[in-house]
Amino acid sequence: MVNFAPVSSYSSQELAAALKAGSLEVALGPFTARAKGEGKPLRSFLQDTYRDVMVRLSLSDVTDIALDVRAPSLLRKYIRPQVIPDPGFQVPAVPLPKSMSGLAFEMGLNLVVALKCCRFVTFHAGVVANDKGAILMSAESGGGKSTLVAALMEEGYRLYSDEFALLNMPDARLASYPRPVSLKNESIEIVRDFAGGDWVSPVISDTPKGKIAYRRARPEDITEAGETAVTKLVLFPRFEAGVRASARGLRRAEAIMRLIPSSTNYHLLGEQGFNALRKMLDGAEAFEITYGTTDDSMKMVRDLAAKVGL
Amino acid sequence: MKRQWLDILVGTKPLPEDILERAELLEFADSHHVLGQMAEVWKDTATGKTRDVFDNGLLRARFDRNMLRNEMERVERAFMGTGLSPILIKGASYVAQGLDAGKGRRVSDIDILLHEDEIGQAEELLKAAGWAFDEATDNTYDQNYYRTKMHELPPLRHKTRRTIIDVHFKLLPRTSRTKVQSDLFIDAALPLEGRKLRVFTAADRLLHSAIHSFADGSFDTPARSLIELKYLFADIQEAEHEGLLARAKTVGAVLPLAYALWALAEFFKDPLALGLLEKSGVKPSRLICWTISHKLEHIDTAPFAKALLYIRSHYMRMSLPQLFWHLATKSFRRIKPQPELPLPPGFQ
Amino acid sequence: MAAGPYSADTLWVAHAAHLIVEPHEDVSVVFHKLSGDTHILNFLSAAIVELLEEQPGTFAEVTGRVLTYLELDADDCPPSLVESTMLQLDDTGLIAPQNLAGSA
Repeated sequence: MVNFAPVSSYSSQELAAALKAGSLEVALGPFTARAKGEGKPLRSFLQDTYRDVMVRLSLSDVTDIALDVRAPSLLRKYIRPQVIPDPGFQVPAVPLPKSMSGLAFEMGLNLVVALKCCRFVTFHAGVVANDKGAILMSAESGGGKSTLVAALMEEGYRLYSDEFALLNMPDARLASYPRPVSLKNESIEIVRDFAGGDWVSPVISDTPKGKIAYRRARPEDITEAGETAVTKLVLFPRFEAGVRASARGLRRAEAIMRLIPSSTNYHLLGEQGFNALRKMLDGAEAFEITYGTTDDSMKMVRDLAAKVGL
Repeated sequence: MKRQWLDILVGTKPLPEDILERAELLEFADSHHVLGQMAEVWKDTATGKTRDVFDNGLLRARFDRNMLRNEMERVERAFMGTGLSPILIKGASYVAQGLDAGKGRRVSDIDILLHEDEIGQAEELLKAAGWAFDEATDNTYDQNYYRTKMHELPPLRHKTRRTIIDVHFKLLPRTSRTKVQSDLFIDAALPLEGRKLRVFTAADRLLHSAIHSFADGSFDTPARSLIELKYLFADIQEAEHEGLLARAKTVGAVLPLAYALWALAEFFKDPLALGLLEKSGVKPSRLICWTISHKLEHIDTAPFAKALLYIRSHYMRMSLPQLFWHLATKSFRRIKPQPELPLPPGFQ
Repeated sequence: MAAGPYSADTLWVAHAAHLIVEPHEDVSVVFHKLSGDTHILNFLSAAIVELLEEQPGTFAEVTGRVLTYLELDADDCPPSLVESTMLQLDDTGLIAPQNLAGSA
């Protein structure tokens, strides 16, 4: 069996050939993905944004995810080329220009994890952790979740996930799933400032969601993949321009009822999912935090983290 | 799909050693909704990533099973005290009875069958309990079309649970050229143990599956249909085989049964099915047999066979003027935007 | 809306085996094993479910028991409120008529 090695250890030609053959196997925490796709945009996206992520060039096992980034039609393969993510089932994906293949890849992965991977209760949330435990941040898009995740990475926390909290059902621990942190518009500059330009990908402009760039996962986030953490702090961050920072403790019943709608598969997992959610909250405190600046939010998160012993 | 995959799907041939083929088979099983059934036969031997992939199928099937159990209870609640006892048919009945054909099976809708003269009352009871027609079919044309030409009411969706129930009053559309005596199936139905619903006998179950595959639709889910036929046929004791032929004659399902037996002999090399086909004296049409094989082997890309079966199945359902009128009306009415697929949270 | 036919004489029940109940100060989080739904019940609905787990009852009987149990008088909690709450609980499947097959 071939061993996994970082994307950066392979040549462009090797990666392009594996992508074309659909044999590139990508290790993503508890999941593996089989990636397929043609052209320079996808290949160079992986080389940049997935630089330290572990892959192998020839398929050595079956995978949780199979993702083909392909042209939506023969016409769009050649004339004003476009791509869509094809995870093997019908998805409501808007075709993107081929130059945005990386974005299509990310959207496709998110859809598969959200809709097809049932071994974990999946919450739409960002997660960071240190040796003492994890902070789970549940937020709608635009809540500043990704900026918070990126900021906490600078404060001794490992990146677990920017998009999905994966709750392992038997032991109610969160699984590490370190994929690049997706940054939109203003947050790109903010994160570039504290993370350093080398850690943020080139900006993709004019996407359906505006400007997008990615804060790369670090080697220490990735080699820790496969680890799990107990949840200590559950946050519902809410960004509101100009507002004074405040934190409100949530009662357990309220935390339960706010986490359930943020899950993509809670209902599917039934009693097992309910019990895992309860067990996760047994050792955690929950807060709604409202803030107007990243500095404010970080101050609050630091205080709350100290309070719960992180 | 590869023919030899069928045997792997039902557990009679080993999983492919070649990783790429194994990956392709699992992806095929997932996208054709038979991963859960495949996982059921392999769950005790598969390890590592293969087992992880099977777990996805098993968890989905568990959800479907729970959903079905709840819907059955809700239907019983809706009909409580009225004396109506609907018959559970298709996938839902296999799962409810714990048959091999139901293990790991995906169930998205629940199908029930009632006597035609009970349909009005059943519809009222379901509506009173929260089911309603979707906007797309809640109009005079569709309602009239379903009731006068088809074999079921337009699908009813529950307003809060969003689950769908198909209420049948016949096994085949009224306009179908194959004439099946639906009432005989209804009269022979048996109580489902511990419940107020009923189910078909083993022979009628197989006959209905054969009718559904070979006299009704366009054989749209070949892998799933063949697996279903295999398990349902295995549920019938060899001593009952003669009785099966007789029953097919009585209810008017000789031809669909012959195609089912031919398919079992052809794709699973089942000698009992072959023997019974010979005994039946029916010679399946070579063109239709070719179409079925072609459809299976080119499951995603068989435009020719698809067109052939489409015309054949519509031809069986409707006379030409009827078909023309239907298509014309449909094409005028259906020009409206499709509702968007629901997105998970965070993707709006 | 009810989940099916009923009358004033219908005996209602709740099955403890179908429920996981987590009581909180003023609400209960209830997981319903049959539907897989998670509900938040206010104190009145939670009390009705609890009382019907112990003993079946008609609308009238449950109204009487709820008043005693929650120490309320009929002005605070009129029979119509208990009845409409019970019909909502019937709709979710948390309570059901006693002789419904398959729910035992």
